Amino acid sequence: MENLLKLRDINDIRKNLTLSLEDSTETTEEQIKVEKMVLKKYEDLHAQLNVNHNLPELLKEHHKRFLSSSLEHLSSSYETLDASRPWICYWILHPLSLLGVRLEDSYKSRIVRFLAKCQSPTGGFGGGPGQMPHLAPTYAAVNALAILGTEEAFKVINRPKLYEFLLSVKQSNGSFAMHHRGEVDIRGAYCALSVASLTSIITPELVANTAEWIVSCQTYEGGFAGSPGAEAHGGYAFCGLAALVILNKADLCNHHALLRWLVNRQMSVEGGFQGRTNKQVDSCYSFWQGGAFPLIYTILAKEGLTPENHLFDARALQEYILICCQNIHGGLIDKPGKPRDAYHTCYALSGLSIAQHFLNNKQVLGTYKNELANTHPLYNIRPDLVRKALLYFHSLKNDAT
Amino acid sequence: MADSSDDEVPKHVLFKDRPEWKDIEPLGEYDSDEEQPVVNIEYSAEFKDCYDYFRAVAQKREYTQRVLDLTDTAIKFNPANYTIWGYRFDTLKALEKDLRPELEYTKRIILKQPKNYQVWNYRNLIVTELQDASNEKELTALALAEDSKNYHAWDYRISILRDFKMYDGELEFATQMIEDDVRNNSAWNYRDFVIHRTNNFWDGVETDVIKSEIEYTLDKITKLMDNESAWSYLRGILANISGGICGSKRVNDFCHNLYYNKGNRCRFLLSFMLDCCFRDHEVTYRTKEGDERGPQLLARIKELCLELATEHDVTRKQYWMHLSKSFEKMIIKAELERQLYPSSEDEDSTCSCSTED
Ligand SMILES: [Zn+2]
Repeated sequence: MENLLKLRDINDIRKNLTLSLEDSTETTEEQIKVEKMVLKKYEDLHAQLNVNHNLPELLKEHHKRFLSSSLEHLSSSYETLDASRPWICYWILHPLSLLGVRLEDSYKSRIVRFLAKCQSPTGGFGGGPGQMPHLAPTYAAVNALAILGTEEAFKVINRPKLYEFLLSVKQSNGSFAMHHRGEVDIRGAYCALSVASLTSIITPELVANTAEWIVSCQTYEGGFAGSPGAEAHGGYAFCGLAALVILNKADLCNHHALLRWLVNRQMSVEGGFQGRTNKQVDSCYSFWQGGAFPLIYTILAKEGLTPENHLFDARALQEYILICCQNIHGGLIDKPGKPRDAYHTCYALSGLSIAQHFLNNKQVLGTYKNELANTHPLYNIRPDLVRKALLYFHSLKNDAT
Repeated sequence: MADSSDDEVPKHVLFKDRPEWKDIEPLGEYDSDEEQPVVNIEYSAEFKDCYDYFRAVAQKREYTQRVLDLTDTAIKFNPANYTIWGYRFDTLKALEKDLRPELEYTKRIILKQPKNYQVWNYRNLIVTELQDASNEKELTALALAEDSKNYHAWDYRISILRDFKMYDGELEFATQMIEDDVRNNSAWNYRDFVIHRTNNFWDGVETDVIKSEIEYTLDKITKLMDNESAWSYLRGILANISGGICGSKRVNDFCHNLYYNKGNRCRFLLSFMLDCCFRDHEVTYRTKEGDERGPQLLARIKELCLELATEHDVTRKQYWMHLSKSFEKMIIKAELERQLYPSSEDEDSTCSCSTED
């Protein structure tokens, strides 16, 4: 089923504006500023609609160009991401694949060789060649290799060593440290389980107590925190839920409270998601919060409560991404006034893809030219590429036994 | 911009131009004849020089004073490089250095780069080694004065409280932070953490602490209705008493008054009352009362959902409609079960906010 969405009525948006009260706090003041900027974007677009009926338009060619050039070369402002280079590869390759870009095999090989250099002799991947293994770049590298999807790419991953690395950072309470002596948080659990499930190296030993530890991160608000006691947060909530779904133990958490928390993260004026209660909208949460919805639907389905539609406002989210977060020269941004970067380009487009697809239905804002490929909500990789990787690694598992 | 001379940074001398490094051959990431890597960052000459020397000494496993100084520079260029932080720690241990100066060192970096995972984690390592957390509250307070919602700072303070049992005065700290910005959700979360760590809640008893937290929160809600943080905190506190969300007469009366007497339609109030109805149904459907209240509660739930979906919270329309249907399905299922397996036990519990008198 296909469905083209129409823009929200601008007057309905105005009705939701935050009012400046006498006892207003710092949070309120900041919120009012953001709403003003966003409303201006919406008003400008509505004015242009008379001239161009095809708006809002996803600037696909511009984004492809921005991503392709970043894959090759980055300015010195990226120096602080020197220890996150597999991430940069993933942040570029994934949105390119959502945009339907096919890379030359020789170019794929070059990326594979770079990622291979980031793999540690002790298993796992580091942030660059020669760096210590770390769960975050390990997740990013494995995902990037899965997106490349060639046998050469799959073969890079040293699975026995990867397994050793994962076990070496596993804590007795079920959690994972990001690296040797590194911080312990819920990202660790997700990154470890994501790569272990994708490459078929999950064992009962690897996941012992992990689901219980993750559940202990669910807060009174309903979302998950990075660690027990801390505040519910979009990125961590996605990690917690996705990890539980991989473990097939989502029923251990309170998913009613989680869903209530999630839907409340969508901003009434902006249409995008915030990461935490009373914080500002940010396009990267289009995926971190938006991507949690399809995972929740799988839990609801088990209870016979499959929803009939996205449980967030898919139209408003698409409005925010398309109208407020595109840099006209390519690349996406956190919110109006911010600079573009690969990270926000990746997660804003991933969120856009989620909003455009509900089960087998499409609901696209603008023309159909705006449509992106679907993404698998557990791994945030295209579903066909997930399948290919799973089949490949699963066959290796059978070989080994 | 007036720069004081104190702030002037001495000109950076490349390591290759420093006599004390003459014996080291810098080590690049790539041989010159190798292909260009992808995501190739245009490093400054200073950055590349520093990291080339770091790679060289790391390969030799050199742990000396000059390496310690080198890590200082490398961290300056990229404080997110966790490999360097680890190497610095190993070097300090190998040289049997006093770790105390690291507290001052990390403090400087934290206040400059408060959103960096690595420096907070490194500080945690140092504090754990020293078994001295006496400076940590002050440091996190400084970071929070800059950004009152800094996730790292709150998370770190929570871990310090837990590891070193330093709960004294923390409820007051939470109160102050909420006073500064009543919408600061991090501060409310912290309050919840402190309250739960410093009190025992057992058997669903409504203790004095719970009573006073309820009063505190209702006061904040009265002053600023549209504040999700306070409403959520209220749910968190009520979860400790039997009857849960609708277990407090004080809260039920408060909501009832807002809705029916003051005509308040704040979405958080409506959502709260909705969950109250559902909980009420859960508690009463097994009782004699349930016969009559069941259909009443279901009607009320559907009414509230419709009100939210069409008028007071249109952004979440799909969610409220879904919830309405889900509640209906669950309630019908519960009713069927009740008719099939009637129970004699009589629980008494009613929720005054759910249906109009
Ligand atoms: Zn962001």
